[in-house]
Amino acid sequence: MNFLRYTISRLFWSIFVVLGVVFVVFLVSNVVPSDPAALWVGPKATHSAIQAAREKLKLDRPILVRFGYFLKDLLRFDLGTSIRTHNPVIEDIRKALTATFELLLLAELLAVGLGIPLGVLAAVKRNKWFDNLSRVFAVAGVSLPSFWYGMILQLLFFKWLGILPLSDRIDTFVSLIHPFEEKTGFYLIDTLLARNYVAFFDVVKHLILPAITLAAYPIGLIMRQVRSMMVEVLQENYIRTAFAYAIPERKIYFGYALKNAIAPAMVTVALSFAYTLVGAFLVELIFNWPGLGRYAANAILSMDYPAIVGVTIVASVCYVLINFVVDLIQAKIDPRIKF
Amino acid sequence: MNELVKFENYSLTFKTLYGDVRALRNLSFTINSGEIVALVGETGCGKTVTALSIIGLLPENASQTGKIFFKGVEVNHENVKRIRGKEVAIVFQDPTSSLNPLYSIEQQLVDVLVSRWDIPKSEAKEKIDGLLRQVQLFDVDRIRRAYPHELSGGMRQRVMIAMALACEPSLLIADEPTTALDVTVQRQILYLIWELQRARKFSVLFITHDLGIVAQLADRVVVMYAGNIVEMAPKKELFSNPLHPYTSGLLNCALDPRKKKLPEPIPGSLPSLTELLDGCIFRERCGRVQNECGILTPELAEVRPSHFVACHLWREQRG
Amino acid sequence: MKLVRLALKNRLAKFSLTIVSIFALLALIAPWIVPYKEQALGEPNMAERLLSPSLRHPFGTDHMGRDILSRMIYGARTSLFTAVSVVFLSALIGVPIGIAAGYFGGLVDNVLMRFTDVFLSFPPLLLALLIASTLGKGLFNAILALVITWWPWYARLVRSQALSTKSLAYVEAARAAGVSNFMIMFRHILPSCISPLAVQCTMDMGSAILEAAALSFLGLGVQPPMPDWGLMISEGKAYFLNYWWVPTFPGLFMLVLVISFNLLGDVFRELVDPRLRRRMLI
Repeated sequence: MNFLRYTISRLFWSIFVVLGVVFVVFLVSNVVPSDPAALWVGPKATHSAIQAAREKLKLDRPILVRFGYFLKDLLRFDLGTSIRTHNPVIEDIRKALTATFELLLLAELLAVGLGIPLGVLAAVKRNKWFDNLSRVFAVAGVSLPSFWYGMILQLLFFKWLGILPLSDRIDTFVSLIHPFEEKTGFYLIDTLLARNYVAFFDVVKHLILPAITLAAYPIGLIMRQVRSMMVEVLQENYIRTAFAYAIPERKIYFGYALKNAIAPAMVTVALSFAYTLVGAFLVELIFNWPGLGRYAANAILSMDYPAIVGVTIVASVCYVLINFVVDLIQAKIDPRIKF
Repeated sequence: MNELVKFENYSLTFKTLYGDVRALRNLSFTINSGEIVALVGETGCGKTVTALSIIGLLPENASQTGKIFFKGVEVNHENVKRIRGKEVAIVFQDPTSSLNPLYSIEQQLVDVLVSRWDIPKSEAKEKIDGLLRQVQLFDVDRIRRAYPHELSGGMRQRVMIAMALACEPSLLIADEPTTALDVTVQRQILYLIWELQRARKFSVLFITHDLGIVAQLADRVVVMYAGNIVEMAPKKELFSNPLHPYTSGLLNCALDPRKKKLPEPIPGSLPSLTELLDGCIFRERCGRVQNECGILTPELAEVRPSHFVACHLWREQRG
Repeated sequence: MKLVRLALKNRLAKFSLTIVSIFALLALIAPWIVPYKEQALGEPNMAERLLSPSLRHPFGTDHMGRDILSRMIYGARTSLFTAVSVVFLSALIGVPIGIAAGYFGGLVDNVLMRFTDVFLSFPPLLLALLIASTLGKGLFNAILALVITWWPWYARLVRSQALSTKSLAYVEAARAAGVSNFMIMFRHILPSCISPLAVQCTMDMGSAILEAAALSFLGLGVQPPMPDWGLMISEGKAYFLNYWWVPTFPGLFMLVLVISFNLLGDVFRELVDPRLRRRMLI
């Protein structure tokens, strides 16, 4: 019954899993039908150039040896070099990651900020029109193909209403006239740090549509989870007591009840983070967002295996990390989980 | 003696998937100020629902007919809010589930004080000590900071009583407050309630299925069966002259070390509350049932001074 | 089947079931009812490209002049086929593994569960993407990739069900009577899994459609000129700013179907969960 021991065991387990992931990824990427060496050199490949490339990429060694090299590189955070950009994959990914994370965090904030209150209200007005309507919205949110939804929003707000931009993180014009230094990679923070308010507003405008698109899924998840937990909690006796003593209704719903219902919802929030990571992928394609998703998509299209492998590993590590945190949260909250 | 609460032909029906459940039928009784009325009956006879109707804490599928008067004024949707948690305070049966597990005792009491008296939180906090002492909880510092699960059952119930007292109500409803507690603790809680009532002279509606408790505490007794009142009388009168067969049966059920035999249970079980019955609700289990019991519903009538009964056996003696 | 009867009483369930059935019907009889069959299958008609919705083409034509309505209806075939295959095959693999793991416990359970855990640790779509991009494009590879990523969920689900069922009295009795393990698993454990499986499969149909569409959108699933909703949206992406109807209607169609599956799954879930069935109060 020791939380520390549980943490450590889960940590070991996560590392083990990451190793497994890495192995699977490596295996899969080496069952490649096409010749990475040829791809590396490019279309005007001569035989000797391909041969040289093959040596450079160590493709002529047996597979387990290659896996060994692969692991060694991984531990040095060396994910190889991208066939497409010829940059170190780790560099490409680092730049793309902050872009993705900025979007991800904003979408999650939206999801939590809207999802929880809406879920509470839906439970309170159970089976009335508000509840039914929000259930439809929640289900719709979870059912939306994000790539399609993004396009619809673009049609609406860019094409027909003309109030929001189509894509990218910032208007090229604005970034030329009002440049700012990229310190953190999070444009919202960087523009504020540089007190560059014109750029800040432009960045915000560019974030709105992709964030809304990305938030649709987690809002639906969170709303449903919060609603169902609230419905259960509202049946409890201590809520009846609160009503019997005329505690103001808002305090009962958002205080007495929500506090008891929030725990599983937090787990859902954390999990939705993981799903949204994947959703960001597709959304970035629609909005030409220079993040991990676009990088991965380009990698797939050009059969850039080091990049594909790199992205998969990074994304999987993030995912495992998130699940690890979720496990810990669950263990902290739920006393029934045995350590 | 003036009437604090008056039920006048009050009926309560729940609309459910399985049909209409007639939980209360034509209840008519009074609670006077300063008296302790015991509401007695088996589990499921409608005692709790009666209490909840006074403060309007009924679920959405409940439909009511008849009237309830509080201090002479008819209770409806708007003014019930002025009674609930203010003039009428209720102590529920299970103190464990009736207190919010994630809020400290202090927080919950403060919330009640703030909403009752409209005072700032700081002022409410100062009253906590006094409240806790009134219910014989003297380890004030520890208890106010504690969470419900850190206290024993008896202490939690005292906290619930403190919560009720915080409202300085005219009527305290105690819904089987000792059923979930140990026997030794039961006595303490009963005594506490009795003392508090003696000191402050509020009315008490004491709901219970335990006749022993009734014998000790009550001024008047109302006996309920399957949603109907079958007998109503001052305590001494009821115990010495039980008129309704159900009441006699209940008294016979009580364990008495002086008797040589084991108590005899009342045969049969509660009737279904979804079927419409003509005639006396108790007839299927009554040892003295007669023909008219199946046809005519007996009405509550005063057969002896202050002694009301709904039974055809006493028809001739009605005034 | 009690589940089905209860479900049918619910208005929402009837509504969603109707929609799903309509789609299924359309998918089945597509070849016979579609107005422009050859176009649906991919034959270009460049003279009529990018026409806005009209009486002749209720949802307009795409960049190759093909009638969008016809392609949408045909797309239902691909989507439903893909979803059913993925769910069915994943269950086919996952359920026996899960039952075995849960029933036998011990070393078998440990080994199997570690195995599935590795698969479960991948972000859902990512592994499918990886596999699909390695195996090559095409519908069957996409289905394979999805099945490889999905079966662990079923194994997990069924395993917990098996764990709780195997200690029930009647299972113990069967074991004592000498019934073979296989029979027990088949006759006793498997039926208890049907309810949660039904719920999960229904909801998964929706997710399968979405993920398959995502794969097609990325060019990894169905290949042109086959009609597929994801593919149609992807092809329409280049034109949608000026010809809004090209990706809009296929997506709408897909949305309606996925919503219906999810609503149906929701209703099933509420019926299966005994705690939520409390309607009578006090």
